[in-house]
Amino acid sequence: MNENENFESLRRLLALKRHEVPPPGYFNRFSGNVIARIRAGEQPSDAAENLARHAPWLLKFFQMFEAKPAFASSFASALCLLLLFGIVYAERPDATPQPILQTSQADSGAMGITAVSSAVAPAPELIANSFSNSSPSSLQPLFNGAFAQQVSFSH
Amino acid sequence: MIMAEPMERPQPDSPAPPEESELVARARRGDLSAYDELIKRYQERIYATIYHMTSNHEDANDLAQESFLKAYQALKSFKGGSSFYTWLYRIAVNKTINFLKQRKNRQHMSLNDLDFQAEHDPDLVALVSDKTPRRDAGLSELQEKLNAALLKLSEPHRLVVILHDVQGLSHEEIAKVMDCNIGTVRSRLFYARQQLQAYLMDYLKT
Repeated sequence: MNENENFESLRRLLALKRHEVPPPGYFNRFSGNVIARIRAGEQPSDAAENLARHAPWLLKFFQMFEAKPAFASSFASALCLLLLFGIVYAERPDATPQPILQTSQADSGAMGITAVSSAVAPAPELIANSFSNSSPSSLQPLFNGAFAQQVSFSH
Repeated sequence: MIMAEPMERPQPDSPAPPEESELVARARRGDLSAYDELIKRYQERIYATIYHMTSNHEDANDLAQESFLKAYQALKSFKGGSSFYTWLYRIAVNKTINFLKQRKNRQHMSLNDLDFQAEHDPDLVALVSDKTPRRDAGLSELQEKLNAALLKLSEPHRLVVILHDVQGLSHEEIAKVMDCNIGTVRSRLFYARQQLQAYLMDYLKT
């Protein structure tokens, strides 16, 4: 028996695919779109292709995640272990601060900060004056009333 | 409009008509009007093949455009060992298969509408008849079930069914496009049809 006779109904059903058509006018615009992309020097929009062009090793690396889930899980496990190791190492009780930080802090406390506070910082009484009585009602007249005149608007 | 009618298709590996070879030569020299003519000749078949493989119009549109773009960029490497059509077909098929491998398990159908001729197609009328076990099934439901069943096939098996039973290519032509021997094409076609028949048992006459 001919192989086609066994699948006659299936072949009829597959004929349905030939009747699936894109939206009207689609092919009228198609070649124009391609030519416009060529003229614009547009590269293929596929990000994977751009990656493949500029960093093929990185693309292969990412593709391994899709192709081999075991590789992806082992890579993730390695990252977690590394993170865990970092946290444990950072919380060790015998972990001492960096000596260079200690030195710089000591130096700045002894010399720099003291010098700045004595040379630049305003006197405590000036600060108190400038911030006390700051409400508008307590403003003092500038010339102590010497140039003030009484003005009347009556005619 | 019926896409990719086999009767209208030129033989891919027959000697290229002078117009095509001339168009290819002009396109290689950067003549975009010649390439535009080549696109218009093959756009429907290339689009249809990709669409039937992906069951998604937007994906098919992107992949078809990129196939023509890539073909233009690679025109200088086209030696003329096969016809331009076969060469272009290979580019489109490889691009589609790579895309489908990356898209695995994220398949989303975006089906095109059926044309008005579908309801008058004698094959389909015979299929949707009182002898059909699921005679309440309309064409739209059949279309959806058929596409879903096709997506269950592996890419090589789906491609063979599409190229042979939908596009109408011969075994020899498919072997050249897929770069395998004819025996492989036959065995893949048989297996793919068996699988499809099992998936669509409720919609096929016994």
